[in-house]
Amino acid sequence: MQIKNDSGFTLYGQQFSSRLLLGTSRYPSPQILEDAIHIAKPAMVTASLRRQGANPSEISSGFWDLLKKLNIPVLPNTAGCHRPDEVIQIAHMAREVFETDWIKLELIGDDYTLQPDTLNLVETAKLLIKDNFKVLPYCTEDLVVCQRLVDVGCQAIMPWAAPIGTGKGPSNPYALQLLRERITVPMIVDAGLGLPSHASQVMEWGYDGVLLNTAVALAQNPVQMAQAFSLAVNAGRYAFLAGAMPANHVAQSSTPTLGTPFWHQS
Amino acid sequence: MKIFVNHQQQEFASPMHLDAVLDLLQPKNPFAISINCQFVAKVHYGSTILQENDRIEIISPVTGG
Repeated sequence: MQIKNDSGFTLYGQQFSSRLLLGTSRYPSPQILEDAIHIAKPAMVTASLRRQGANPSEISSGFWDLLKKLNIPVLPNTAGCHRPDEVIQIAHMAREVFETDWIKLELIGDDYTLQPDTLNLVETAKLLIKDNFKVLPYCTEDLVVCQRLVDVGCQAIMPWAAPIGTGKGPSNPYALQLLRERITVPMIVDAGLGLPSHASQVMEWGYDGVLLNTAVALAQNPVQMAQAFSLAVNAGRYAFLAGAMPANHVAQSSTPTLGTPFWHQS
Repeated sequence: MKIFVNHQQQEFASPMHLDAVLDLLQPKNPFAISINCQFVAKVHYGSTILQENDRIEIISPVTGG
């Protein structure tokens, strides 16, 4: 029987060998961030934009120099935007600063859960695509919203597993699995993953990749956790390619029963 | 002329082009600029004339998730 090799996945025509996208925030130090990226070998790393002077430690710690040194594709986000016009402005600024058309579309509708504003997300994605951005929208697991995002030209979408930074893992497995069955473009589970087993789980369902940050950054050993997630993503992908056995409600002995010694004496 | 730079009030001569203000401010590279919440591309720095009470935002890369 042949082993199916995983050749990675394609987003907007660009091939990526890794299925892990890694956030760069909340690490204990820049060195630990760099070590985590080296061991995880992510397809992309996420970054953001803030006013100069608002985050002096981050700017002076050489984050930009690190990005240039790593030479890994950068996925700028629009974190913190609550209005479509804010998203559009930040996206254009990100394009100029990071010299990339990639944009992680974040349009927040609720500050408590950081739930995306799904009522305005589709129209915002449409505007960005019209401006030739490669849009990766952070969305919920709502099937209709996801389909509408595809309809307006999103060539990949990023439903959440759970609210950002919670680490709870997939909170709606039924909807996420149904979404995978119905949506044909690449899908990356973004946000809410806390354990490598969560990443494996969604990859086993057929998701194309995962994007995570806090689960690695806040681990006691972020570098080792980055490695664990990298392995888990691959394990989940290979399990999907292998095809899982059907689950049964009753036990079925895996050891042959024919020829069992002493069976007639009991 | 009163201009707000990253929410801090500053005084500049009038009239003044954006590129002249940036020469004075010397922002750390790389950066992008918005004026009154509208992105201004680098190619337009020399042709953008600032007005009284304009609000300039200078933004730079930071870590993000």
